[in-house]
Amino acid sequence: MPDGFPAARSQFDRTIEGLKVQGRVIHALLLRELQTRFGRGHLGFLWLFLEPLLLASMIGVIKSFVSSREMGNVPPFLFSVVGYAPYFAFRAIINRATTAFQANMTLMYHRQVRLIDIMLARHLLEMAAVTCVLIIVLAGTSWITGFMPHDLPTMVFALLLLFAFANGLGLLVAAGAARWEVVDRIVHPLTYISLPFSGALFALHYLPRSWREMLLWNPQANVHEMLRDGMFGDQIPAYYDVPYVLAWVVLVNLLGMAAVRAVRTKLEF
Amino acid sequence: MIYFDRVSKHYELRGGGKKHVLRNVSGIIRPGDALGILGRNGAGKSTLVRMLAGVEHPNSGRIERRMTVSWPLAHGVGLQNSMSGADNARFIARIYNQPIKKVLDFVEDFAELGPYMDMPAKTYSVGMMGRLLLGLSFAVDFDCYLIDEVTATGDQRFVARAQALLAEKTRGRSLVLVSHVPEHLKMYCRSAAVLNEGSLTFFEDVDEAVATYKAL
Repeated sequence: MPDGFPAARSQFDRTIEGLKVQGRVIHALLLRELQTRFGRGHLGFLWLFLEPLLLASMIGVIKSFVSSREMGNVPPFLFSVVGYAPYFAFRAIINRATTAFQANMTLMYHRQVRLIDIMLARHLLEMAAVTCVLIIVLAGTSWITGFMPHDLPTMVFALLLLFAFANGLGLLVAAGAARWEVVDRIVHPLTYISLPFSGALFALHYLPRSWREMLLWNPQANVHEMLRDGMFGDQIPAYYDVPYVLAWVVLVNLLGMAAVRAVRTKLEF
Repeated sequence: MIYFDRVSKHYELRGGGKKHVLRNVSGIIRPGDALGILGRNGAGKSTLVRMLAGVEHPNSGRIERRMTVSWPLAHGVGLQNSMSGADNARFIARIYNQPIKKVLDFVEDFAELGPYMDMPAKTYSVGMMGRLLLGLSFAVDFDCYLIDEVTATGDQRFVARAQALLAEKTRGRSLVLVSHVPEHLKMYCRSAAVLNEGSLTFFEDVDEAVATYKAL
């Protein structure tokens, strides 16, 4: 080290400063993501949740006409929206993760922008959108029909688990897609194939016991059961294991962060 | 001050093999330095600048930055083409913790984009893009500016303005300018280095560096 070279700041100062910088960067990325995805028009920001709201409502309406035994005694419309809206957000996070780094390479020229910030900003946006959709639908139905969610904290916790799980998976997919092209190709068909196993479409209670136990290996199915439990309570018996889901969440997030870190030095500018 | 010590970088080539871009390159950039780096196309100039900026990592060696260093000011990077110049300015202001109005006003004045400020950056000419980039980086006060050829594209008027502002901005600060055009180095720099076949040779005198570069 040459003479007169300024000393590095303490680890603590750097950590605090780093957190502030990360907060600023994620805020800037969130606003930018809103703009690039929905334009600067006045209705732009609305599309963020109008789109999933429209989609989930359409399916809900169709289901309420062709309602089947699988939904129990609960309103089919609500059943569908509570299942589909979070599922769409989950799928969007995974599918869009494949192009996340490639599309944002130019941002990597700013030292303070980290790959993980880009992912977090995107995921927070998806999360905000689906939360808005659920709030609108729940507020609307409770106003019209007087139906109230059975246990709101459980629903919120389930949503948080679902997003934490999607976040970790999204990191893994983004890192994988940056390293191997084939990941981009297989992720999309995989998300379609996985739809019936996600537990978003039907309550596991109406499945044969052996099928139910098989599906419960999937943490996503646990989360959807938990969501329905929070929504409908005793009207549909629910099956889920919170510690099991938490273990998955921690696992995929740690692996995802490690993968993103590993792939950073391999990215070509 | 930027200190880099025995920095090496190679890229993996498709179909096996490695391309060594930098081999054990060392040096110091002090406050007040105006260093020009000459090198032919593909010599590794941009790679070196990206590593000085801390956005690309060397395979071995270390780089320490103890001053604020700009992002590498090169064409087509650091900005988002689908966003307007003004929105890019807002983004830069946010991530570099600057008042948005200050950055917007400065860029509008410096880059002279007029109504194009609200058009997507992909509609800009190369010269306009260069003006926007330099304007944005000057709006944020860095201790050290890393410029990768962007000064080369402006017209006469812009070159004169950029030169004046650079001279003013870089007084007591540092400038690293990378180019394959010796005339630009003579305009902006006080010392120079030549990058050739992975090694970096420093010269106190710019003319000496230019002569060496031309003899390559």
